[in-house]
Amino acid sequence: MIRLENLTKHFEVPGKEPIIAANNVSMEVGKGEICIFLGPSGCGKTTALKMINKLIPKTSGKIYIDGKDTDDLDAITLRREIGYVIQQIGLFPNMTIESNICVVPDLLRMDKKKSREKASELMDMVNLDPSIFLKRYPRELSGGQQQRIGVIRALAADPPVLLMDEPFGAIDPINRAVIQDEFLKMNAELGKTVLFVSHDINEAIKMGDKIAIFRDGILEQCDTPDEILSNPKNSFIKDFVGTDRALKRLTLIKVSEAVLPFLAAVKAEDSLEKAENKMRDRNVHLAVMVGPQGRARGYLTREKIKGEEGGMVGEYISPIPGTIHENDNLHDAVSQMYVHACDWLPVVDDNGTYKGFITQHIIASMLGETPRKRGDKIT
Amino acid sequence: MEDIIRYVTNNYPTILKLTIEHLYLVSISVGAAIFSGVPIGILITKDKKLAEKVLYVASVIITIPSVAMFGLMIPILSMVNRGIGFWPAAIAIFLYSQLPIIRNTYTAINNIDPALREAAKGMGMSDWQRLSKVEIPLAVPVVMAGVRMAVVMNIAVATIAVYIGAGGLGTIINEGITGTNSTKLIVGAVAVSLLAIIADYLFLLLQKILTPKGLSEVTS
Repeated sequence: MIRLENLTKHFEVPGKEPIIAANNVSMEVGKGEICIFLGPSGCGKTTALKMINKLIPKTSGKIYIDGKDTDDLDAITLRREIGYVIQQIGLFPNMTIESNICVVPDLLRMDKKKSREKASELMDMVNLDPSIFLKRYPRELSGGQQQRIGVIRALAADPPVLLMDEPFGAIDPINRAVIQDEFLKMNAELGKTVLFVSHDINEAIKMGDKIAIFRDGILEQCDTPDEILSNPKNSFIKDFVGTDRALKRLTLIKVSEAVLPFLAAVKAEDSLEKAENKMRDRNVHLAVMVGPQGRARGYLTREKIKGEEGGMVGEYISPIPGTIHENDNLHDAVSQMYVHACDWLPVVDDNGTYKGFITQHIIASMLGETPRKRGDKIT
Repeated sequence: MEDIIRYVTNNYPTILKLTIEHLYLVSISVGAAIFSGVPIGILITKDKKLAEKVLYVASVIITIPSVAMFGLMIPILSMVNRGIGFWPAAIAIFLYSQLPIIRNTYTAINNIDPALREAAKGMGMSDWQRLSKVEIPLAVPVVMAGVRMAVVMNIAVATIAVYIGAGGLGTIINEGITGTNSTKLIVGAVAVSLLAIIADYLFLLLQKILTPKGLSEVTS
């Protein structure tokens, strides 16, 4: 979808060597992918982004969008086909929210009625009530609300590509997490190809299908977040992603991918013998007792019932330490384990129904040095 | 006090005529100054060195005392047979109006948040679209403040124009001075002051009306 070939930028400094802000950057981003440009400040990530919509003229190299060489397009036409979101938001204070959203559709002389309908639809997607906000002015909105408008303004003319320059950098951490989730959900539906500049490794891991790490104008590594965290190409990237990179990988894996499904579920009226057989067969050391609605009610371990005979499961049960939702990630799960001082947790779904359990042992085995592909399951 | 009231009631057609003359002179000159000053102010935002020079020249002009300025106009305009009367006065006021209008336009456009400019550019607005849809609407309040300043200042300056035969309310003041008639002097001075105050207020109102809604205080 977007291909950069030997993209280079020299900033001339009078009387000095030129600053090389981008040095032979070559990469490709597929349709519908979110690629994060990551790196310390001054690494050239923003320069690389702004060369794509010609806000910064490139020194040499080629940029192809959908196979088309962007040299053949004039800057204004090109920019109207690319959504652009900046950290400072940049809503025009003299226009209503509606006019702000419809700036590009109006520049393209699209049908006014349709673009206004589209504006309402997009506002619904970011959970802002169009009937309240469309006729307001930017300064009547909070920062988080303004940036939501900033994002949907970039989407209003339905461009296939979105460039985002640290879009959520100025938003407080709580709002940032919410708006990140909203954006991911929205883009899962819209399928835009997104190039996204960030300096926050955690944001990159959360948002990116791919991460491109820059240093001094050089693209050091461009890979999936999992590959970057498990196989950092050099010491710079190793340092940049942090010594806790193994823990960061935990956020990439959902509980549902690591769960031992329905293993060793027992009922209160089951005999101890049956429970013990079940645990032995499945080679696990504990069994979870479920109630009539399928909720986890308690558990028993093989050790606890060793040597006991003739009783029922219900008599030997211990209360469960807590639960974890199947859509949470392993980072949350480990955190919960520390909170409850335990090494396992039962997994539940939206209704609170027991789905299986996860253990620290499984999590550790999932963090082996080999990167996983998304969707892989431990068998 | 009675003298003054009597003078006004007996002479109000003259006073009205002179007031209109006065306003005509100021509005034509400042009006023309808006048409030159605003484009110049916008243009010089592209080049900082040029801006410094233009603002310097405009500042020098405004420091020339009005009597001297009118005096200068006479020989120059005599060459086209317009040495005295309306034209030299109008041109002088036009020149005086440049600084507040150019400077305010320049400052207003220059102070627009660079993020807005970047957003406008990045979304694919042409230079002209960026000016007309974003920068000028946002600059209007500050530009209007400059126009207002020019109007008020030049209502005072135009009083001197009587000495080069341009008429206006200065006529009454001049008669008051030459004839040591304090009644005329007071009537003329008060009339000019009132005119300036009313014009100031009206332009303030206009400034508020022209300010884009999104910039004025939030009313909810």
